[in-house]
Amino acid sequence: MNVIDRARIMGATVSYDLWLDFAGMPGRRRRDLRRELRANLEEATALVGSSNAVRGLGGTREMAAAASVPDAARPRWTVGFAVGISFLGLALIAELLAALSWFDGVIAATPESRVTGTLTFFPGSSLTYSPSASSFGISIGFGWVCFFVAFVAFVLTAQPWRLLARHAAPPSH
Amino acid sequence: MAHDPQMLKGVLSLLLLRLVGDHDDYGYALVVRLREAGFTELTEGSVYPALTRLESAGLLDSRLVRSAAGPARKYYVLTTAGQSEAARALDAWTTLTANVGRALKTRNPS
Repeated sequence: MNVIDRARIMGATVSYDLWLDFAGMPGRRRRDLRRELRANLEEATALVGSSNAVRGLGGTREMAAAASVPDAARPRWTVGFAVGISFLGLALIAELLAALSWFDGVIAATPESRVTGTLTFFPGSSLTYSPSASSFGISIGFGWVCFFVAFVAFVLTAQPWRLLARHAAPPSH
Repeated sequence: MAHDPQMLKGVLSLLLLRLVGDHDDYGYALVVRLREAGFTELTEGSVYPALTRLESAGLLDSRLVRSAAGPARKYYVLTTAGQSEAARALDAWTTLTANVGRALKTRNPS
């Protein structure tokens, strides 16, 4: 098996795992299914090639939905984590772009003394422009908004309050 | 002739329980056995979830067997509940096909 075969198999198993998590499959069970799928795909790859082996699965989303017995009482931690990280990245990029605009404005004004400021939509952020004789220095404090946005996205997606339902009604098996 | 996917979906559990009942096997080998039995259009994407559901329902059990070719294979084993379900599903299937056959004969006596 070459690198491409391994990459295809890994892509399919990771995708399957994510959809299983989204469908509410517990972590230990997902690990078992991931291992099983990898073993089956390696077996199939040896006979028909990795491309056909992965194609034979069809959509991993449909596979995961068909394999899962929905567990409404289980939070979706992995999906929540992935969404939280994505929102953190997007918020940091947005704040960075806003900060660069702020610095562009300050540099255009050519101030002779130190300038500080904050970004309106990012409370807690701090921007500093420090001119010197021949150059200038800048510093950015991102504040808490990006992390707050990421945390809210994580909580809304992971839905940890599902644990309350679990405590109220223990699983049947 | 190609099988109707919906009909196939309805009997897939019965087929898997019977195949595993014949002898313990792992996912991809069961796909190959089903294809050899004539279900050539059957995909892994429908067999693997079906096995997972049968295992979750307690109709199949499993054990890991080391493989020289790669990662350990997960062999499925028919449980006592699986044997009962296979017998029940086979009865239901036999009754269904008999009734369908009778109904078709009545509709088209020639």
